[in-house]
Amino acid sequence: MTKTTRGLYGHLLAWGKYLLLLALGLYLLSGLYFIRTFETGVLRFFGRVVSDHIGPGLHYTLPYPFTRVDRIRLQERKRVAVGFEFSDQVVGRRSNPLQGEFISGDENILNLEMVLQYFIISPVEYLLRAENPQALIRSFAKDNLTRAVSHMQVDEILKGEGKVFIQSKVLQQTQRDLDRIMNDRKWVQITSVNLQMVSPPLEVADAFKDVVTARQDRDRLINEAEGYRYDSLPKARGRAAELFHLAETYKLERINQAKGDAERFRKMAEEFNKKGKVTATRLYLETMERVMARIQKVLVQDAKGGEPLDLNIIDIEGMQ
Amino acid sequence: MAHKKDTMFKTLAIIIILILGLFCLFICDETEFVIVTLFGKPVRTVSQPGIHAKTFLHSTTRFDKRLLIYDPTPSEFLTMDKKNVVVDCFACWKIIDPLVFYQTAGDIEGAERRLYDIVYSEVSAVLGKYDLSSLIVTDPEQGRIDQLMATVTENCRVRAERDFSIAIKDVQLKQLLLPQQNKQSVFDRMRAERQRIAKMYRAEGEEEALKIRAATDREVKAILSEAYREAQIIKGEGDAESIRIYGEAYSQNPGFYKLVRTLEAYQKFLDEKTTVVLSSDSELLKLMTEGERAIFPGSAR
Repeated sequence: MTKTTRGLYGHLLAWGKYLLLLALGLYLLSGLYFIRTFETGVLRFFGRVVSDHIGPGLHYTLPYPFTRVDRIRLQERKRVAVGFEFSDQVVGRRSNPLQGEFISGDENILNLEMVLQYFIISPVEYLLRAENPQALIRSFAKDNLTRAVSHMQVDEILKGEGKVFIQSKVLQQTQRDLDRIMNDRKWVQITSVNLQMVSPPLEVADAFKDVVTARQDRDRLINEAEGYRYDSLPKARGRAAELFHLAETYKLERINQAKGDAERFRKMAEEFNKKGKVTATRLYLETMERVMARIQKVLVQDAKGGEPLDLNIIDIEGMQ
Repeated sequence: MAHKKDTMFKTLAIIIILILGLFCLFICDETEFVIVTLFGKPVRTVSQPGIHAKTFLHSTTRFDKRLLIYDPTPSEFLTMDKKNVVVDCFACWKIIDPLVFYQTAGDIEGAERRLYDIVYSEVSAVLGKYDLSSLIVTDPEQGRIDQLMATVTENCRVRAERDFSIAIKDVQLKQLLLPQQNKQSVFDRMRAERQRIAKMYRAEGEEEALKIRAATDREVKAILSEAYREAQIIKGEGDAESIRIYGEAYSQNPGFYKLVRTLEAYQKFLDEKTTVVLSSDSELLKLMTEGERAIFPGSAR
């Protein structure tokens, strides 16, 4: 070896040592990691879980590949979609148009969309005991939804109470299934199940809408009839009261008139009783005065012999 | 120079040892089984997580220890009453003995192929013993889905454990569908049923409305006729009372009444059209025919 190559080689060796040390240092430094406020860390040391509740902050452990840190958000509500896909999840997968189709107990087809919310209770179970926990939850939820719906009538499902019933049933059953599948350990907690859409297929949507309209029509007809009733009865009663009132008035008038007439007659009779003949004569002559003025009169000499009067000699026509 | 060569050899040696060491150690993770093989022949199974040793001649094969989910594409099956139904099911399973699993199924893909056979055949067989109407039925008491899936699960579990050392925890029904070709008739039926219901609602409305209106009319008539009746009674009372009053007054002076009443009658019926033939003997004309003597009877003419 020449002196120069030896020198170069020596330099390289010297530098190499320092570089190696630096690399080692950096490598060891890569073992630093931090956990955010809303996260929990799970640390695996040579593949074995040593801690499943590392709190927020800066921590140190041996760098890869000796250890592995997974972060999990325990407080975060996770969502699972049943019967449809969340818009942010349809990536690279063709969305199945039949996935929201369900059959009711009376063999009607319905389209349902359900959202299930849960949060993680046990990080170890969630991360390390199930290969695809979201798929598990989703599948069980769909299974329970299918069962619930296939025992109900379509009208029940479309009603508000039906939705509430299905939601609570799916929640209870799915929670039970998930606990069971992990050897009766509660690893997730389902917080809510929401049936966000229940609708009949497009092909029959009109027919379903018409049923709603028909119900409204029925109510409307009945309301109109009731309106007629609420209008007619008071009117009739009013008329009845009017008739009653008129009759009472008539009665009063009649009686009063009678009383008046009777009183007038009594007064005249009193007079007559006092002055008798004179009153009678006066009344008679007064009447005759009025009467004779307007009637057709024929004055005939009385045939004192007994010849009957021949009325034909009176020219009735000529007297008009 | 010899010194330098020495250190060079030493470092190389250390590096080689380290590399060899890496090949002699392996990590078994929480989530896996590791099978150590020597030239393809399995030697031992490791399921304890941690770091383990082997020779550099041995190699490792890893298997998932976790709960896995098998979700085949939906298939059509025939029920006992010859109805077609599309079943979308899924199975939860895990490996029991990785060695047996390795020797029988080989890997996950192989397992899924085997699972497909088992699940398909069991669903087909068990479903063929149930009517569709016992699965899809409005009365939950009569629903047999739980039974069906429990039987399927049990049958699959036995076979999978026996043949491939696979523990099937659950086979469940994700979705029941009616086959595409049947859908049109189902839609027709649904539409017809909806129309029937709509008709019923409207008929109900009309019937009820009619009832209310008829009842109302009846009541109105009753109210009015009752009121009329009572009004007539009252009027009658008025008439009767007035007759009584008149009668009372007149009957006290019947003679005078007759006089006055007759004179009134004369006034009424003797009008312009009446012709009266008066005899000269008439009282009225007495003054004309007899003159003074009518006034003063007994006086001489």
